[in-house]
Amino acid sequence: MSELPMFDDEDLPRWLVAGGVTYAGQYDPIAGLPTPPWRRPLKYHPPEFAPVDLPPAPWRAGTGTSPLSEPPLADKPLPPWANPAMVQASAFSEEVDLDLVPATAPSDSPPEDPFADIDWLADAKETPPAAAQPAGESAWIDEIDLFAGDRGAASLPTPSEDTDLFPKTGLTGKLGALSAAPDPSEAPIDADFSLFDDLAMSGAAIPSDPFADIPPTVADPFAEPVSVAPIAPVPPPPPPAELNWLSDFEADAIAEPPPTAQPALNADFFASGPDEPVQAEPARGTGPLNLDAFLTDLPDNTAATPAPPAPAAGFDLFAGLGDIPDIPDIPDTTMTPEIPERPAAPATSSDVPDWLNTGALPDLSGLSTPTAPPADSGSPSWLDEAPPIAASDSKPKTQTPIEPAIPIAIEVPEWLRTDFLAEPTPTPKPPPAMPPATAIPEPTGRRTPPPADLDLDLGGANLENILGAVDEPAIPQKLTTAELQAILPDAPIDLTEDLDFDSLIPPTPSDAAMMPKPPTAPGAGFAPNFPADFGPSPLSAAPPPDLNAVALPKRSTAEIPAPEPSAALPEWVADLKPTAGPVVIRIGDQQIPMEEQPLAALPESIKQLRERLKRIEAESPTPSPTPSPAPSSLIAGLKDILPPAAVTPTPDAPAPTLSGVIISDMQARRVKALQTILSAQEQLLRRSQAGEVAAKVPKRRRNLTKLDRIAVTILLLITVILPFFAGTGGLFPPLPTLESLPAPDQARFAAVIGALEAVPNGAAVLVAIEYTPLSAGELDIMARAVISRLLDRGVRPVFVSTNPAGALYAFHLAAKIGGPSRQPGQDYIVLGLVPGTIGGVRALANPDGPLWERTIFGQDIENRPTGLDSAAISDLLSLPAFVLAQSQDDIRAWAEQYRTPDGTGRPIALLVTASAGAVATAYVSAEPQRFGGPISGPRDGLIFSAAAGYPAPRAAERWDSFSLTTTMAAMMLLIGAAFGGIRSLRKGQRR
Amino acid sequence: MTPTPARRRLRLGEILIVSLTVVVALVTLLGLEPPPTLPAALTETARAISSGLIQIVTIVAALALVIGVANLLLANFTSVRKLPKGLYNLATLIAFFATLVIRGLERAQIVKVEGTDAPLLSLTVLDAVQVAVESALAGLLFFVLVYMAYRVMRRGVTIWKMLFIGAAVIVLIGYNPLPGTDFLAALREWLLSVPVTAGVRGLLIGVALGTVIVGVRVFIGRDRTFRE
Repeated sequence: MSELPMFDDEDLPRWLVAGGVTYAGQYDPIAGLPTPPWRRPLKYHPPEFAPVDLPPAPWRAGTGTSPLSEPPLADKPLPPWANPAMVQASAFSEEVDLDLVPATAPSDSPPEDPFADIDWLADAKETPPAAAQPAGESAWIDEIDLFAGDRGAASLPTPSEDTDLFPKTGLTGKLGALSAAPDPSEAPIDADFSLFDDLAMSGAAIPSDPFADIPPTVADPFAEPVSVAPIAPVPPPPPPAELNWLSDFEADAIAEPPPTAQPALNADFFASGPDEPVQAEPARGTGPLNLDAFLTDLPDNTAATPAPPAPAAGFDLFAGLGDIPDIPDIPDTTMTPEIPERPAAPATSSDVPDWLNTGALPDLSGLSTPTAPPADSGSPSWLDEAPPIAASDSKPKTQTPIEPAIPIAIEVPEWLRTDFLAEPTPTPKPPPAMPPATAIPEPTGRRTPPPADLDLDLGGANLENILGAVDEPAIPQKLTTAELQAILPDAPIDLTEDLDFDSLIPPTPSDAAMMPKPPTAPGAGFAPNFPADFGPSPLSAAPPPDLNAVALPKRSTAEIPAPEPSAALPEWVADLKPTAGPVVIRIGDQQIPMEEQPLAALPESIKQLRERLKRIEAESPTPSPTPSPAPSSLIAGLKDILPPAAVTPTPDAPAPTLSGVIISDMQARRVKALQTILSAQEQLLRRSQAGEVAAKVPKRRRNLTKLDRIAVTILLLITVILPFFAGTGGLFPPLPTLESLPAPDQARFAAVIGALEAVPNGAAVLVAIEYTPLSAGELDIMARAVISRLLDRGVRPVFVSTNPAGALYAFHLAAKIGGPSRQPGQDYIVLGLVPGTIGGVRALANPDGPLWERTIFGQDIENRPTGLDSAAISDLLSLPAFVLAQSQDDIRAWAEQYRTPDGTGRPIALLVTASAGAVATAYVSAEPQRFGGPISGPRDGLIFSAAAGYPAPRAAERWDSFSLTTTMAAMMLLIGAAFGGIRSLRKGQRR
Repeated sequence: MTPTPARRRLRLGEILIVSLTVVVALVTLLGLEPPPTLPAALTETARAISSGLIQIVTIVAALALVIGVANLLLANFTSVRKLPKGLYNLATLIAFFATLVIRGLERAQIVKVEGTDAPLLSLTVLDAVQVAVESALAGLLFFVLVYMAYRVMRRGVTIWKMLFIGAAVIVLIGYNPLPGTDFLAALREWLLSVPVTAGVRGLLIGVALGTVIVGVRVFIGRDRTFRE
């Protein structure tokens, strides 16, 4: 056995790379590999239905050609890897979606496509990976449910609505995940259905059709009514009473039925006795897709085996399901009984699947053609109301079996002889009785849980899960030379020789770039430049979907950053315990460490496939040097990774030049539908991404450096400071004296000064400090004069405040003004906080009861007893209170609440800030006998302090500073108003 | 056609609260402004009750202050983990506990400034931090106000903006008028004594009316607080 590593010295086959699986460096081996998925026990029970007698495809009847306009087969080019002469072919048939033929279709992909430089199928065209699909290596590709695309085939000419094989929606969620996978900035791939989850969270109903909420601009692939293919593998338990499995079809098949939709739906459900399924005609269209063939070939082999009994024709397709599982949960392998039987091929000793030998693509279109139910089938009334079924749709049509492409007698392998997913069942069970059609509940749009007896692991069902549950095919380890010659007539293979298969491929300059480089940092990988490395893909020139409406910021596509391995890996990958492997490969946006094993460890069948692919690649012509247009979208490579069709000579083909790249019209429709799905998802992703980007756009920072602001600040600062050092030079009049003031002003000052002088020596007087340090610059001048005068006269000031900061600041003032010679509690008293501004003043002014004495006047701020008894308090309250207030509310509280119990106002001397001067003036003018003052603002403060005999320090400089600053501020206002006015007027004129 | 509003359901709790409030409001009103015709004994009783209720209000307000401080601490403790913004909360907590410690040490006579019974250390902290910061803030306010007034015309010239600028200029210059502009001082006095005082009185009258309305609503149980 060869000791060559599986990955050929850190080099993956390019067809794997093209499929998104890349090598990302070595990994430290930790443990051995666990059981691979194909060795695990089955989780899945085989269908117990007998094969369905499906009607033939409509295009089968009569002419035997597709109703779609198919050009002559000779006009259809081969993919470059299939026909060297047709490498540069640019004319594909009409029914083959040109989106899949990038070499011919111009691309108008948006420039912001981050994956524009990635040609996902650059290598696939050279190495058709079709043969490698069954091993589950490309199971992530199989997440794409091509059959789901039929629902989006509205844009294609539909011969009849009976061609849909099975699901209504397909694994669209997986598609969304796949589409988002190449972009590391997108949601992680583990959120398989995050897109639709988001939609669901947003209130959108996505019971089964994830595209039900696609904006009208997006072609809803499911808007077109489609037929329902029988799902034979699922046993049919009787549906629960509230079972509404048809709700999945409500949106697309019932709620919005086109004129011809309902008949087809009816016919699908209740098709009666179609003809025996026949081998689907190999479609004459050409195209690189053969995934359908792969899917259909698998059960096709079961036709030659003692398969379970065929289910009765025309049965209720979904009766056994009870509830259609979630779209992504529907395994595509459940289609196995629907595959039409293929003409029995002569048995040979070859153990490889016949589809690998022949490459003939069985057309599944005819399998899903249910016939109309009989008139007395007892269908529900809601179904009977549908229009009558067209006769052409319901009539069974005879089909001509298609000869195999190569009449090679191949012995059908045992693993293909039985049902693809079936456990070994010794005795085939009879098909379960079909539930009556009348038991079908009318769809209500509500989802119902799957029946409990449905022994189907649909929890996280996807193709990986299903494939992981399948036993490894027991392919013989070796083939005889004759068999190999039959498989590959022109390529003799010596399987006993351990070949380095990569050496068979002529090295190209791009190989060096493709070769993985050891990661320089943990988690780092390489990002192959697909277009440069692999040349243009024949499928990459697909015209982009309608995504131009959304503009996205450009992202660097030079490298695909290596994301961290996500937790939600495909099951078949997760089961391998990737952390135990030494080799890191990259699948999509995930790095999966896997154990590197010798090439000999590969199953023989895989090795054969590998060798064959390499041979084909080696024989294929050099790709066109013309660079392929950039993929059109984020997930443009996704559609390109669809495996090309198998290439086999077709002797019975009308045109000898075409050798087996076959794509039927139905497949083309499915591909088209798939592209529609992808484009829709991509558009949604782009929109959401655009929204996020827009949300993350930082706001433009305001320019904080404004010249005028700086100029104003500097000028004002100079005017404030300059007078303290240089004076004003006699520019302004000096500080007025009390005598120089007008008579009304003299009266204000005289009232306050008189109140100070009227307090008897040794008495206590209330001083309310109702301001915080914020107004200290304005009121401290007055407070200093008042407190100093009282203390000097031997009066005990009793400080009180309804402001917590004011109470403490009062203590600060008293201690600062009184100095160390005057002790608190003796020379002055600082009461504690009087909470509740209005209520506190009211309670303070009403000496009533022991509570009042204890809570307000009983203790000071230091919790020391004040020594004030009721008589002292009464005397205190009878004297005028000096209120230094900074706000109008404080003035209001004292003016309105400082009253005797009978409502008589107590005398107050108001010393307030300039902003509260107007309110104080209002109260004073209302009750001039009760109020003294008001002394408001720094100007009055300076005059009052000077008149009281306690002038403020540097009062003259202060006054000059005030004068100069206010004048400069007025000038600023005038200048600013002039500039602003002119500017505003100019703007108005321009408008 | 205006739909008929749904009839409000009466709840027992609401009835009790309204009844209690109305009674307390009535007693307080009688104690604060007793009608002359009310018997003297009843007036004194109402006055005593009213005075007691108001004093209880002050205690409740003090309790609310303590609760507010506790809430402030809790909020800062909760937010301190969110760095880097939590640094502000951390600074607040540190300042709070540092002040508390200093105050406690002074109250316990552990730290004491000789020669005075005043807590000079705590007051010095107040003077050095609180007073300085708040005074600086007030000084910055002046610059901001001037600059805003400087730019007020940039968004359009209106009569109200012109009036604002004119009044501000008159008051500022009239504060200490330059020689030859004494008329601005007289104009300033007129502005302050007539328009400004009239406006302030209007505000006070509005405040009084609003207070009366709220009192009446409380008194008849129609205040919103009873329904919440």
